[in-house]
Amino acid sequence: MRQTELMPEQPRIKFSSLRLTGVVDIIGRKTIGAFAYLIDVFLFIFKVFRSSRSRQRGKGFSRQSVSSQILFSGIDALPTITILGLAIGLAVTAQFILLLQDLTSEREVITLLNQLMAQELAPLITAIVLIGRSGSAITVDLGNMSIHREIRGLELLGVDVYEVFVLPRILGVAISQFALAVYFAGIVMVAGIVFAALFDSPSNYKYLFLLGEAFNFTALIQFLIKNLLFGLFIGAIACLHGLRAEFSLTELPQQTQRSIVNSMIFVFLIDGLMVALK
Amino acid sequence: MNESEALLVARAARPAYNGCDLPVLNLQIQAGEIVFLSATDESRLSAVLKMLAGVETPGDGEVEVLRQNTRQLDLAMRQNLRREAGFVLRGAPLLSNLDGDNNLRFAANYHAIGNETEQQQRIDELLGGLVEPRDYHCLPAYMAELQRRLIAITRPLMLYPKILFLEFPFNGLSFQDRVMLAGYLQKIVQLDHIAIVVCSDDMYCMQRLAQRIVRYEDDAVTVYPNWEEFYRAGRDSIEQLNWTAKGAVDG
Repeated sequence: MRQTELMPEQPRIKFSSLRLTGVVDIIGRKTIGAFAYLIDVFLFIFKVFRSSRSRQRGKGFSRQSVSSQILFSGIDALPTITILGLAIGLAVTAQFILLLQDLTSEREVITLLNQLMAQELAPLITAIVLIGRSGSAITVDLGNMSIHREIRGLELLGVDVYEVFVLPRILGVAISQFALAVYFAGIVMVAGIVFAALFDSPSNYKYLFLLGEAFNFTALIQFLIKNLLFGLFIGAIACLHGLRAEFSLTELPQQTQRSIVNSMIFVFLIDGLMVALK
Repeated sequence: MNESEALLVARAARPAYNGCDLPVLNLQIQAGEIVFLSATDESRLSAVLKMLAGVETPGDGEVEVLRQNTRQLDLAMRQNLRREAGFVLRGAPLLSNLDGDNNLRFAANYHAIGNETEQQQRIDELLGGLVEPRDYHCLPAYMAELQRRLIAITRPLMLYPKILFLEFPFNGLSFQDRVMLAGYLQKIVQLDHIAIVVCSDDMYCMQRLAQRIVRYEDDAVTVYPNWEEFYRAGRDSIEQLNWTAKGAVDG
């Protein structure tokens, strides 16, 4: 008997349809994963703020932790932000002034600079520095504590980990983000004008006197909200990933990498949303 | 034994343990007692200890710690319970970025218990004579294992608990250190009149410490009121334990 008579005919696999199903499957999974992650982050933030509201003990204790987080994320980052501000002032702001002053009026130049450098670039650059510097450090710090069961040990003493370790870090990062963005915006604008005056003409110092006129109340509020949101999400995502490391030290680099990438995505998404809502 | 005076009551309690059926436990623990949990399988002991401490809810039955049913605790109640029912994890983890002194004060500061002087008095009262002050003013990474254990056990005591649960406190210590730690636990019970529940595989130290023994076998759990009853039931003999201890010292 021939083989074909013994075996029923096998359905032929269509590789093209398989490939398509696989792609749809992957896209579907990734989309669901992204939404689940989004919900995780929001729930985490909600839990953190709820835990701080429900207790009266340890308030002074948390305030101390916020101060140390501001020292670590804000004050210690000042040299980096200063160097970056001076470099971008020289490389971008000064060039902008030199290019634009031939094309438009002085007030337009300063308005454009304010819009681009102070309101858009300053929060983004500051956020990127904070993500790389403080966000990763927070993830590693909390992850180490979690893996070595230091956090569990404190929970078993009735200590609210969200209140003591997470909330101060989130608040510290948010306050630092705002303060550093203001500082960076100031440096990048002033340094750009000074460099433009030094390299082109001393008459460019006139832009220093026009700086005050470029700001308005609505723009300041938007600047405040944007930076606080950046800081809130950078801090929350760093803490969330730190606490997700539970069993092995090999989880730490994975969680740190996810924390950095996801924080970047959130920052750019928030920035885009703020622009869309304007 | 009067149930109303008991710090801990377990009624037909069985821990939720990886889907396996452990025997049910009936137990009452009074102040000033040291109870020893013993089993052939260490992971069972951790599950039983966490159930008794109210860290995990029982799979079956009921556990009341300080007259609070552990099934009915919300988050805030659970946190409050942890102040009065201390639990020290295996390996005694301390906050690695704080020195021993700050580790000791951390939970006390969080719960606003005592000012700096009162806390220092409490530390001196508990650790005086055992650990030199300079020994706990360094990071845990630079401490000897016994110092770390002593600080980890003293940390919940700073909150004046009524009952203390210790998960394998003697593991990884030298014989001399184990004996010293056992002496410290005896001192705590005399000083604060608290109850201590210890799960351990160190029969020698536990024999010096514990008054009652809870022994988990595969199909039954027995509460022995004293060591004589325990040995009569055919467990390890005192001679064997002493021989093991002598071997440890010689080694």
